[in-house]
Amino acid sequence: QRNMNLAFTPPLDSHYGDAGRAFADRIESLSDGEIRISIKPSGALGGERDVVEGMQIGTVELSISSTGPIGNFVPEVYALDFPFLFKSYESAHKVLDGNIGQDILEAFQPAGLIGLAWAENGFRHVTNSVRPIEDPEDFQGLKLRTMENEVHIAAFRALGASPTPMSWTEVLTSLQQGTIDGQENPIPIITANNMWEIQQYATLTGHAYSPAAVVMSEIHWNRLNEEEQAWFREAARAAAEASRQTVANNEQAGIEEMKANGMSVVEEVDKQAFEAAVQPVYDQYAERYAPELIERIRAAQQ
Amino acid sequence: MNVLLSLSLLVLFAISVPVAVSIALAAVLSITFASPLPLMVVPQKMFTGLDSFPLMAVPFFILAGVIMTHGGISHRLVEFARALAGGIQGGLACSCVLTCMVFAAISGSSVATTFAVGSILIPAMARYGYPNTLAASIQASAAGLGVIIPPSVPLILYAVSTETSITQLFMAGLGPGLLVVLSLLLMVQVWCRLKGHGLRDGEGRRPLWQSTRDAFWALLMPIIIIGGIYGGIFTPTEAAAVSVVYALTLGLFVYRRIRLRDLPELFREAAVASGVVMLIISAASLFSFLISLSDLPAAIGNWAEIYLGSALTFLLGVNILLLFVGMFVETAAAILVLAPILTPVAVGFGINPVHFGVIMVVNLALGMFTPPLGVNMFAAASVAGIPVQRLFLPLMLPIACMLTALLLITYVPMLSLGLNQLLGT
Amino acid sequence: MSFLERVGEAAVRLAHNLAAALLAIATALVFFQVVTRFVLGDAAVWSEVTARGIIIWSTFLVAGAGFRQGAMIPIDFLREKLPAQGQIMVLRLVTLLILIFLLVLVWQGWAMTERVASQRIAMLGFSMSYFYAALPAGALTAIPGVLLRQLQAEREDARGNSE
Ligand code: NA
Ligand code: NA
Repeated sequence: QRNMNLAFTPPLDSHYGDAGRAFADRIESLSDGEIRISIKPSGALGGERDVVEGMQIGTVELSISSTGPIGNFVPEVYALDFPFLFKSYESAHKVLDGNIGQDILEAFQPAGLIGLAWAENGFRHVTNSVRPIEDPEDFQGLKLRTMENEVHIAAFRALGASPTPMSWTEVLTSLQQGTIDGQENPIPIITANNMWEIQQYATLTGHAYSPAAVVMSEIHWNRLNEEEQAWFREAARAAAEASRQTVANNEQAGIEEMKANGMSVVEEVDKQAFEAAVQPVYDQYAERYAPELIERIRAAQQ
Repeated sequence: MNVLLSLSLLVLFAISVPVAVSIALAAVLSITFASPLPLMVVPQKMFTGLDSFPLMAVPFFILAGVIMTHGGISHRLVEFARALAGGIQGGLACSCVLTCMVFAAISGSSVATTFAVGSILIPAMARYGYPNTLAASIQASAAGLGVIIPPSVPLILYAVSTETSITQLFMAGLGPGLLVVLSLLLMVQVWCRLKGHGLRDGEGRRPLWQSTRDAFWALLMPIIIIGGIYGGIFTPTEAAAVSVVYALTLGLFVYRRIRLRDLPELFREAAVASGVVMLIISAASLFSFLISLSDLPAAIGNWAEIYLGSALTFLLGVNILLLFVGMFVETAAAILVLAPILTPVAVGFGINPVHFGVIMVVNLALGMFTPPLGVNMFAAASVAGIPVQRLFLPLMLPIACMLTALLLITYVPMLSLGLNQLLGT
Repeated sequence: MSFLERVGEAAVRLAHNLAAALLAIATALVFFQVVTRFVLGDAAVWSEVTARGIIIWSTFLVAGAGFRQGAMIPIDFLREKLPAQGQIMVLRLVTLLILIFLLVLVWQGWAMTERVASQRIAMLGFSMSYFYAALPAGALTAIPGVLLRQLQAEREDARGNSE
């Protein structure tokens, strides 16, 4: 019997946890219990960048990781981070499950990683404690916590906000104390942290679609025979499906929960105004990160 | 792998291989002989263990401590505390506890507190007729406040290794810190009255307004650090950097005890002090990666659930384990190795991770002055110039005192969590 | 003092000075970050990452001085119970073990530095190797510190025996 670790940073009780369990169940049934997947949630094996590095040298077999850290290893992945690039969940799934998504997954290999499938975190939305955001101008001067991701930072700067990268452990208290005014995340993260206790306003900006990659270490991949490799691909697709299912379920329930807890939720915004405001990001960064990919993603959604 | 890992760690510790090297070398041995892992995981984990912004508060707070010790700050705090404790019998011994309390609020370490405060107060207490051993044991125990009252290096390490908020942990340390202060003050008073020590403590005391004025800028420092973090001006790491700049400003321009040409030596001293701790942190993160891979935390959780049954007995078990560990093992290593194992179990028992962090740190603070190996005890003995064995007996009273406080802190979560709840985090 | 000893001491001192300067720079960077956010209302986004790398460099570069000064915190109460002859033997063994570890760190640290060459550091855009190189570099400069400390112990032991 073989044992493999599947690492991720969210807790077991999350869309990643559901994906992880789906992966483990599928592999165990396909391999008749010969391969056992041991799920390591909550960053037990380290942060995302750390785990991706671990897969490169073969200390961690598998992981589900958001795209930010992977972009440092596979620059093509940054193409997915551009603001207002994906129009809807349906079109994001269509692009990522099709040729474009496959091409990006194949770009993982030179880094010693095998991209198996695209799971997801969902569209990201903004919360803050200063004012309801209805137009791009409302971002003016807001201190927003963002991820350590140039494209995201440039996007919020283009909107007039002050993007502030900060480690997640300090975010809740910093929001409470007013060190920062707001943050941006998919809805399940907003509800899981009872964000209404510290943030009055939410706007469903959907400013970026956040996929998550199911990744395997190339070192361990090469130890699998062809049949087993097919099992892993199949299990990764099952994991992706499970995460999308949970995100979809959480999204609508989450909006209701936010409102029920007294949060003011702006559900409809003039997306075109926001897209126009972030255009400088495309002008500045698209050339650097796979401009053809961005064009293909746009064309595929026409 | 776990057996080789722990056995080799014990042997390396025992033959006096430095703590950081013992931890990392035990990992190297078990990776080489008992696992399929590549050795490249050694530098990889030693690197990522340090690659964290919250963790950078550690070198900065250590640097601030070094600057304050040389910057004339401790002296003014002592004068202030003496004026405050008044002319009562045992007032000087009380002012030792009080100075440690204030110094603790600007320093992240207990040993730093022992040297900074003890080097002034132990000789002073001896001059006023206190036995040397009594002075040194009061100092050794009161210095434990250094890690309980924020800022605190061990609390930062707990926060980083368990993904808990440093700000919340800092707030949680205040109540227990004050409880320890009160219990030590009470103990000192009873002791002095029974033994007739400290009858002349009022002599040579400066007026309160004068010493307050002299210590004003130093007293402002805790307010800037804690107020700044809590008032939303900066994160704990930034607060640490700000406190370095503030301490430098005081030392260079206000108290003028540091000259510009002293600066390189201060930074050299702080670089070694922080490097030693950071290397332990680095090695411990490699160690805990191996532990995490091995499913040991889950096994310990199951064991605790079956044999300890409830939160109350689990906490008692933790108290005993940590007290024992704290007596022998360096604090940073103890936290970094044990916190990731114990905290999930504690959370499983419904214990708040912030409260649990405070319990761990108070426990280890107690271990720091408990014979035979408490590091504060050695520091205080060396400042007082007496052999450490002579402290063993007089230390029993503060140990009993602190144990009582520890039990209260363990079983009354409100002491730690009350302030956070009050302030709404 | 032999030529080699002088070279060793100089290497340890140089690394120590560098580490101290880096600590000062990291402090200044983080302070600068507070100033930019609080005073200018906008955060510098590269200062945090840079300060992290600088602290890692400072930590590993100072290891040599830590060993040289005997500041690395050994748990030595058992060793101190041994007779002088036994103590020096144990010290030699300890020094040997430290050297083995440092050599592993130089060797594997360099391998890792090469492995991460194509990884970019978030927000800075240059190779992760620049940060990882702190490990082999620090471990290498720590070796003279360990040897010089042992040399000092050997001399003190010889003096103790001759008295
Ligand atoms: Na403190
Ligand atoms: Na200890």
